[in-house]
Order: sequence, then C-alpha cells, then structure tokens
Amino acid sequence: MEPLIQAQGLTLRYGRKVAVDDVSFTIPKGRVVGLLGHNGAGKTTLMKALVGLLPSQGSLNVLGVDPARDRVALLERLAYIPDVAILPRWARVDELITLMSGLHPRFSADRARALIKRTSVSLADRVKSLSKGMVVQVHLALVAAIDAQVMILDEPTLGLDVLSRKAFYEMLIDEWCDGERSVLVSTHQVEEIESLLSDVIMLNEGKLVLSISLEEMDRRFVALSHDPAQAAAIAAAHPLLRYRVQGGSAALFDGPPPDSVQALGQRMRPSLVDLFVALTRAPEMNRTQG
Amino acid sequence: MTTKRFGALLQREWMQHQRGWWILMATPVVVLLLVAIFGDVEITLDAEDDTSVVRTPAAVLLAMGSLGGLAICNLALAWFSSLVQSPGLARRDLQDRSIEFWLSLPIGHAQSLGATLLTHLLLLPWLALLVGAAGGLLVSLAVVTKAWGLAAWFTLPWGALVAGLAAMLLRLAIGLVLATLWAAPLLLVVMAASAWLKRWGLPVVVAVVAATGFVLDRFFDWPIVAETLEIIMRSAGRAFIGADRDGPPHLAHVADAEGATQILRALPSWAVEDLGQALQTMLSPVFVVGLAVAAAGFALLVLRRSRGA
Repeated sequence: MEPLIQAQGLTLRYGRKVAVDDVSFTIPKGRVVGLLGHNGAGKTTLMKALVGLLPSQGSLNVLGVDPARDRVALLERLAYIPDVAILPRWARVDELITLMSGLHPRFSADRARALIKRTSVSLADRVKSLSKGMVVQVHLALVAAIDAQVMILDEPTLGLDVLSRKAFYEMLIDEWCDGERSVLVSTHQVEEIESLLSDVIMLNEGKLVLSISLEEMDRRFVALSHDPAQAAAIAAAHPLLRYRVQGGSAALFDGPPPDSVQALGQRMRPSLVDLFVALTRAPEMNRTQG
Repeated sequence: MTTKRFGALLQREWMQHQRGWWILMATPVVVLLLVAIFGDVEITLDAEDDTSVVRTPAAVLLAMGSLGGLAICNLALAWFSSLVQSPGLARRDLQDRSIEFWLSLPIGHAQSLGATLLTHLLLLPWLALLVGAAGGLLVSLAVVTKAWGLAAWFTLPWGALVAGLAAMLLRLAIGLVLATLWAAPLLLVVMAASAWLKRWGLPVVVAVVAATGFVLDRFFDWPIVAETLEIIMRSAGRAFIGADRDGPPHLAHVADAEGATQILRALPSWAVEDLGQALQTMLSPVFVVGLAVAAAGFALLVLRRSRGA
C-alpha cells in the first residue's frame, strides 16, 4: 500500500541555513503522527514543505504529487492548520463558511455548520470578537468539514488553556479521524496527545532522530525504575537517559538492558516525553546527569 | 471550479471592504443630496451688454450635471482611493496575519492577486460609477423639483438624457480599463516594491526613478524617464475620457436647454469617436513596454506571495 506521505533524503533550507537535513520518513494511511522537536528543530519548515509552501531538495511525495509543483491540487485533498488565530479577523463565521464553499471543492458547508453548532460560537460572530480558543475551534470545524485524506496541524493548540486543548483534540479525533485519514500534528504538549498518537517523528536541529510507531517504540525502548542506591550500576550500562520518577529513579535504554542491570530494577513503559528528552537533549546535558 | 473559486475570491474582497466602499460611494451622493435639498443652484452668465446675470439653470442642465457629475465624481474617488491603497494591498494579508490561512487553501497565488487587483482597480470603480449615476438620479429629482417643480423632472428629455448618460457611462467604464492598463506599470512596480521592501517600497521606487531620470537627463541629455512618465500620466487621463481633444460638439451652447439637449444627442457618437482615439494611443512602444514592466511587477508579487508574504 502506497504511503500518503513519503520523504526521502529531504533537505530544506532558508538561504544558506539548513533547516531540515536529509530526512526520510513515510506516513501510511489511518495514522495519527506526532511531530516532536524543540523550538527551531525544523517542524514548521517541514510542514510548510509538505503543503508546498517551501521548495525542497530530495524526494517528497504527498498524496502522489510533488507539493511544491502541485500545491493547489494537493491542498484540495490535504487540510492544513498552520498556526493559531490566523483566521481573517474581519470575517464572520458564516462568511468564512460561504468563502470556503467557493474556494474548496471538498468543503461541506452543512458539515461545517453542524460542527460549529457543537461549539459555543455562533455563525454570526466575527472572528475578532472570539477568544483564541474559540478561533481555533472554528478553524478546526472549517478544516474538519473538508473531505481530505491528510490533515497537517502545526502547533494548533499553542497558547490555549487545557479545556480548549481538550475540546480541540476531541473534535479532531471524533469528527475527522476515521481510520483511513492520517493526521500529522506538531505540538509541545506531548503528554496530552500521547494517547491519541499511533506514530511519532522526532526532529532535533533539523535531523530526524526517530520515526516509529508507538507499538514499535514500546517494543524497542525500555525504561527501568530502580532504587537510587543502584544508580552507579545502572549508569555503567549507559542508558539513554536517567531521570526521576515518583518515589525513585529510572533509566531509559534503547533495546533491552543487560541482564545484570535488569535485575536491579523493574521494567516499565517509557513515556514519550522521556524518550523525546533522551533523544533530543544535547549530549553534554546528558553527561551532567551521570 | 476555477471560475467558482475566482468568484469566491472576488466575494472575499467585497466581504472584507464593503463597509468602507459603501461609505466612499455614498458620501458624495448624500452630500449633494443635502446641498440640493437645502441649497440653491445658480449660474452666472455674461449678458451681451457685458453685465452679469445670475439665473437658475435649465432643468435639463441640472439633471445632466447631477447625473454626469456624480457618476464621474464617484468613479474618480473610487479609482483614486484604490490607487492610493494599492501599495498596502500587497501586504494586506500579511499585516492582518491571515496570510497563512489563505495559503492553506487550494488557491493559486496569481489567482489570489488577480482577484484583489481586479476588484480594487476595476470592479469597485465600475460599481462606484453606477452608484454615482443612480445617486445622480436622486439628486436631479431633488434639485430640479426644488428649482422648477416636480413636473419639470418628469418632462425632462429622458430619451436623450438616458442615451447620452449610457454612452458616457460606457465610455468611462471602458476608459477605466484603458487608464488602468496605462497606469499598470507604475502601480504594479510600487506594489511589488511594497511587498518585498515593506514600508520602504514606495520611497525606494520614487528615489530610484528620480535618480535614474536625473542621471540620464543631466549627464546623457536623455530625459526619457520624465517623458515616459508624462506620456503615461497624460495617456491614462485621456484614456478615461477626452482623448478627442476637440470635445463634444456644440459645447458652446451648453448654457441653455436646447444646447444641452443637442449635446446629449451627440454624446453617443462622440463617445465612440473618443474611445477610438483612446485605443489608437495604445499603439505605442511606451504602452507595450509598460505592459511588460507591469507583468514583471505582477510576477514579483506572485513570487513574494508564494514565499508567504
């Protein structure tokens, strides 16, 4: 089965600065993929290239087309929320629905109205009178009314309170994801969306450090909680990361830890946040932990 | 879908700017209507014995003035306002932070910019022309009724008035297209400069044009920049109306009703001749080069928008 998104040796630059460096990954259909990375890691740049807003080197295929060459055709089948609160402030919600109906061939005005009805926003409201959370809800309602195959969300809940964030992801999963469509979402609120994700892609300073399904992640990475008194023995096994957990210490290993070390602690599932920290932290910072 | 999409882009311009546009188009109508209701219209004529005579103009003259005057006034206001705002249009979506929303939709960059330019430079002035003519009808009703009674308005030579006015509106509407084409190189270069250089766009274009003109004139005795600008300005003005410098026939008799009616009857054929003259002036190297420069300016705008601005 051909993946919906396929990148091979993808490099993206701003002038001479390399923002994304030789990245390869695929996203099959029916997946919810988290794109994780620190500020400046290249997440937004990568997403812009995926929707044809940046030229790229290497091979990039999204829904069977080259995004930079066929941006308009691609955006008919791909929905994209680039940032929070970017809806035109002068517009009323019903005007946006009217415009989207004319501008997007796969947009359903009825569905958008139905989705808006489930929020606290009215069709007559102007965007400029809405709170940040409401604007994001409206934006998602508009985008979720597009019969697209892929949705790309760039930090969609940045700056929102926890209730708005929860409402956003509920609407996304309940109203849009159907097992066939795929979502690529970048966020810093990793803990909140971990349960929604099927895959994760991690970027660190423009380089891909991990592209893996969560099932595979659970098989490959092992966390070991242990008594602080065993810290020296655990450190000798060179874990990816040593950190504190409630009531003790833990260490994260890429692959099963040596048998001698396994006996010193209790195996547990590593969290996405801990793995992210382990893989994207500067090496010198890791050393200070040892 | 392309047509539907372009229609939606035009609709977007209307939704975003309609309030300002209605104010722009309605203000002259309202002001003149108030003047017509609460003021007096008189003209001063030189009598044969060299004395001045003040009298109320004939009803047909009042109607001509109201209809034609308001239509032209509205057209000029709308076009001028679009010209003044055009540098800002290049960065409008970036400034209100909605650019990324528009870029996330399946719309071509050229289509987006084309809809904006078409709406502001042609559709709005055309609408203003029609609103001006419609407002002129109201003003003529008020001013003629006040001076000569309601019956005088109903007994105006409506056949000649409508034919003359329609010819003038059509001439002005086509003239607007021609004038915009003449002004396009200046307009699009300034817009492109604003898109790329932000607030420095206009000053940089003015400085570069002035410096180039000065150097070529002073050191090479070749005043081509000033001459080209003069040709563009003059041609754009005449493209609107008045390319036939002799003007409508019987203009000297405009002060009386009979002369006015004659002019109205002559206007359709004069408008056609005038349009022919305006089209002839387009067969010039300046116009062709200007279009090429305008195309380059548009390409720069498209390139800038494709980079998210």
